[in-house]
Amino acid sequence: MRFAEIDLFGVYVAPISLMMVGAWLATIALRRLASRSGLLRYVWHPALFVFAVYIIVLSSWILIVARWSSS
Amino acid sequence: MTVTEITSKRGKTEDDRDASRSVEPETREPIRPRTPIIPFLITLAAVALAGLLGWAMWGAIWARRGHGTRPCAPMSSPWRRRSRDASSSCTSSTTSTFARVISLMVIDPTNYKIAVSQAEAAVQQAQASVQSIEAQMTVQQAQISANQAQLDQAQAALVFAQQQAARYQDLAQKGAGSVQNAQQFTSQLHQQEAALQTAQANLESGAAASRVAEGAAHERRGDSRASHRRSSTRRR
Repeated sequence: MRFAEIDLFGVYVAPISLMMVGAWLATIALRRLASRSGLLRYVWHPALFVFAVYIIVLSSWILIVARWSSS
Repeated sequence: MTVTEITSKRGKTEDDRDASRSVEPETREPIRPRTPIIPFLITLAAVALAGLLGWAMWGAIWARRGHGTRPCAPMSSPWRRRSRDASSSCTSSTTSTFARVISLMVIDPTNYKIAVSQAEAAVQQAQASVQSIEAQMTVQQAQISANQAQLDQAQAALVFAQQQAARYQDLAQKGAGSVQNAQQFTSQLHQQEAALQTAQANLESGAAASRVAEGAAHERRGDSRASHRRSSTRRR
């Protein structure tokens, strides 16, 4: 994926919006996986942990894509 | 409580009090809640990692689009970066990429690029037209020079024809020359006069064509400058 603007009904929106939505979906999947496997029971604050996972997924995605597209 | 009961309680010995005391454990340990140290550490590690990556992402996002010479520090504080970028800018391909990432909206430049290309093509067309007209002007100048030479030649021939006609008319009047020769040179005189008029007409025609070409070139130069200004404005 490259940092090209997304054509949304004729308006080019920022690609970070798509990344945020994608990271949110990935976080939902990870949370369900962790909930089924019981990993969330070993977490002190589940909501804080899920938010941290969301930030990790989003920032990692952006940093990786930035490094890949700049090289 | 009656007087009898008070008396009976006062009468009890120390041993009787110990006998009525409730049974309690010998040593009491303080009740502490069980500390979830491993879940707390897991959460703390996740939050710390998220903070680190978020810091890197945030700092890179606030780095502005670089067009200076100073490179951007990738992991500096975002607040410091923001205040520093207010006075100067930095250069980094990564920051430029991030500046593209956080752009909220971008107008499609296709139409403007097409307009710029059309304006540049118009400029080139006008410049080519000017060059063509300048070449035509050069040709016209050469033609004018040739017409001028023809005019000079016709004038010289006319002078000689006038001299010949006068000479043979004089001889014919004196009876020393034939009338045929006098008529022949008179005819040549008329021919040379006609040739002189033709050369003059050609010269004036060439001069008029040259003036027309010069005006057209001046007009095309104006068009070219106007197209160039429009092209520069659209490119900006």
